[in-house]
Amino acid sequence: MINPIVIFYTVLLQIRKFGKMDIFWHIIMLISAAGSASLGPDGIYGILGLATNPAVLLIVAMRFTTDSYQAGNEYYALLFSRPIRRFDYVLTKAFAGWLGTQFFVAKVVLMLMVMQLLFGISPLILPGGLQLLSVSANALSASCLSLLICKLPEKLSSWALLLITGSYLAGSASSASLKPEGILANVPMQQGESLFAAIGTVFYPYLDLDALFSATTFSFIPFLNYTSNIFIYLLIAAWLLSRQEFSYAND
Amino acid sequence: MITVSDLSKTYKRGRSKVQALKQVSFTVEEGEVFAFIGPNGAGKTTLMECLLGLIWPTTGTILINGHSPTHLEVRRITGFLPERAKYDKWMSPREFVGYHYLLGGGDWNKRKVAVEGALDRVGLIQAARSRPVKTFSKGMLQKVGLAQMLVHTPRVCFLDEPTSGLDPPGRNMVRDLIRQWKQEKVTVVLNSHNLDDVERVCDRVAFVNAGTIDIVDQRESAEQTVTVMVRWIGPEDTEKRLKEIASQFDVMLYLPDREETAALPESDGGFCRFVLRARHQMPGLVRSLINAQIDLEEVFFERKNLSDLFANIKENENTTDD
Amino acid sequence: MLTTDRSESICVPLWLIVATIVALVIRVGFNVWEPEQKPLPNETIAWQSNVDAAAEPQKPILYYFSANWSQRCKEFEKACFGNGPLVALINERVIPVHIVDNSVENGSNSPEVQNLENKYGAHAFPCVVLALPDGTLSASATGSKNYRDLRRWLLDELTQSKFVAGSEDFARGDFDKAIKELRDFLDEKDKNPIQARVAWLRYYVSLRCLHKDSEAKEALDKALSHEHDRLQCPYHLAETVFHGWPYPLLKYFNGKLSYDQLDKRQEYDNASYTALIDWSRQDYKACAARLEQALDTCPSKSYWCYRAARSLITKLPPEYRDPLQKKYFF
Repeated sequence: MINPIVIFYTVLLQIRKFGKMDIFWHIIMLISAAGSASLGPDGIYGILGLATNPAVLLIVAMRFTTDSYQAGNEYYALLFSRPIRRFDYVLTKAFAGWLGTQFFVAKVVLMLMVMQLLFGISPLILPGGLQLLSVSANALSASCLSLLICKLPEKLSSWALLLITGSYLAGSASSASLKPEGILANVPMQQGESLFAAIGTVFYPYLDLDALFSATTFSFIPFLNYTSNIFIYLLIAAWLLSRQEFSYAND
Repeated sequence: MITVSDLSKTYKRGRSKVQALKQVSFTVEEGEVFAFIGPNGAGKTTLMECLLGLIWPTTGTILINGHSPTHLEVRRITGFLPERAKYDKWMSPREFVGYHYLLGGGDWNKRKVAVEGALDRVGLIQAARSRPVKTFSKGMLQKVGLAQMLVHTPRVCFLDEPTSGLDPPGRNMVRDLIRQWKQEKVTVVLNSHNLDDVERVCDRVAFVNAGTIDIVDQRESAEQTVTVMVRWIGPEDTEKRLKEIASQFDVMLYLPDREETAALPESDGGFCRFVLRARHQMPGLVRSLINAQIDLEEVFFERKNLSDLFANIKENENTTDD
Repeated sequence: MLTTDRSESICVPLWLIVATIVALVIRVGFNVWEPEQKPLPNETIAWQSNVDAAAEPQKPILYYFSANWSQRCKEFEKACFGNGPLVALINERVIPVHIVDNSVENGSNSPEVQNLENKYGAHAFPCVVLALPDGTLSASATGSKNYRDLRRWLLDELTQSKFVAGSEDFARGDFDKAIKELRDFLDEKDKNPIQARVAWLRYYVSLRCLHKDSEAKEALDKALSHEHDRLQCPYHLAETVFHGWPYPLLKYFNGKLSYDQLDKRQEYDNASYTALIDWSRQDYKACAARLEQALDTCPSKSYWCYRAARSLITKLPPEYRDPLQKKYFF
């Protein structure tokens, strides 16, 4: 099912691909962690929230689920001439993406922890057990969704990524509804907010285990949405890949 | 081993359709070296891709050892060298070949030996084996591609322009490899523009033109007649002596007509053709010619050149692939 | 072309197809069935409609401003008011009051709702305001939050609102008790700066009323030298004995509102801000007139500004105090 060779070489590839831009981004993350720690709990919780934002998880997962940066038909033609099932490859990439995304969040948490120690903040503010489990679950969802997006036709995949990440980032940016003043009634904005919420719930539901288990009335719906979405992502991705033709001559 | 029946492939190009392959049928026996040649856009690569299970035929069937090309058993015995292989640029040849070795189901413990063996076989220098492939020339990349194909000893090899970018020693290496495969009864399917290579190594050649296989050229075998061209410098009665030799060997003798004579560069002699029943008659013929004190200038097998097949064939304007 | 034959490299496993269909059917079924069975989350909070009628008037008040058209409010209610620990905290520690803005649907709000929105600056929804029992703004937060953030915010603000302990005694004129409780509060570390400033000023007023003038001066200096620059009061305007420190007054002290602007504001709030200013300037005649006007127009005797105005009456000189006491204290 899951091909360990593909995982091993995916990880190796990520390590090898670590370049100047990655160093740059890691420095930015360090500075952000330092800034957050100096601001106190609000800063720390804020950056934790950003690192576990569904849109950010999706973008991070894409790095691990896509292949070599120049992967095209020729790359896949060679790869799939080997005795591996395309579905096994899909599953393996989903697993690799899950691992990689969790690793990213772990890096952020580690940086925050170090900065809190340096700034003398005590007790350390860290995500709780259920929150970490939520991150793990959402990393899997992000990984499977990013795999599906990669397998879509190019134009469609760009729009899909823009829509999903945009809906979550827009949702994070706008946390309040402004009271309309006279003719500036923001009815379209309200409808837009509903649309964003719907996109999130249907296409990419976010699981907050802490909230779900401490809710006054327990609901199975988020778990069912999450589970069925994972299956749908994997099925569509596997079907698309199994149908895909790799005509390398046209590259 | 490979059976293709009524294979057709149609591509959609916007609103129009282009038929890249039209009812193609042929078979390739086990241990045979089979080549596709043809003009650009004829459908050779499309045919290769169908055989590899990378694209789906519109109609028709392909069986490799009784299975479809996408069957895992077929994948296990297949090796493939694409024309323009794309590699993970950060990988070294060792890592890349090792990756494909393991993907092909190789044993982790035997990985290093197999990888080094494959790289030795293609002649990649030691110093280059640990460098990232992004620093490699085209020829070196081709060697890496060959190595990934060789590393798990395939039974069916699909080669698309294997000598592309290789220097003469590299080309010799590929030819030797194919000859070795022939001895090992490995089936080779080759797509090449290099007719010299094709002529030297292939058993049969399929000439692909506009989606159809027009000619499947049966290469000469020991049982088939061969034509020997003899050019001499000598007196006028040489023709009489040549006729005596021809009757002695019981072979056909063709003397040139006026047009052919006029086309030749000026010389004091002439030329003729002997049609031998088998290649092994050649040494005897040469001895007879020498014993008859004919001053020989040149004696060689006259073969129908593969490039002649391209004569009067216009490039297919409708297809965009090769 | 879809094959489930595992010997093919292009197969799609049968178990995945079956699992997807089953999961989808169950999902659709639950999405249709479950909402009909479960109660709405914010039915679990004991919302009050009348703050003054609350059983424990000393509790802080949690105002929740929302609008029916706001998607953010729906998300906020689902996330926060459906959370057990948070709901328990709200029901136990505060008086929850839900204010719904109907200005979009009905064109305008009722005066009470509009007054509250203006008083606490609720111009975006959802907005959560924590107020002291006398209506003084303690803290506010706007925007959709998750339950963790709201719970943390509420706990932080509640731990700093022990200041409420002194307010009732101060209002009754029981300045000895008020001084003790204010002193305890002021000795704590990490106080809410707004409340600290208010506490120092009340402390100052209490000391003045007990004629402990040297200590009062010290208290006033402390009030004015508070590190929170935003609330630095001009010296001469610090002489107030107002019951609470409504937000417009604080803005006035900050220099953000003029006297005339404050005069206009009290039309919304039925408050007697300018009466207080007049009293501080010893313009007792103007003060009495303002107080009379405020008390006549105040919609309810239980309204916080009514009580505040009555309290100020007791600080007037007898020639102005007595007629007003006769009129309004019986």
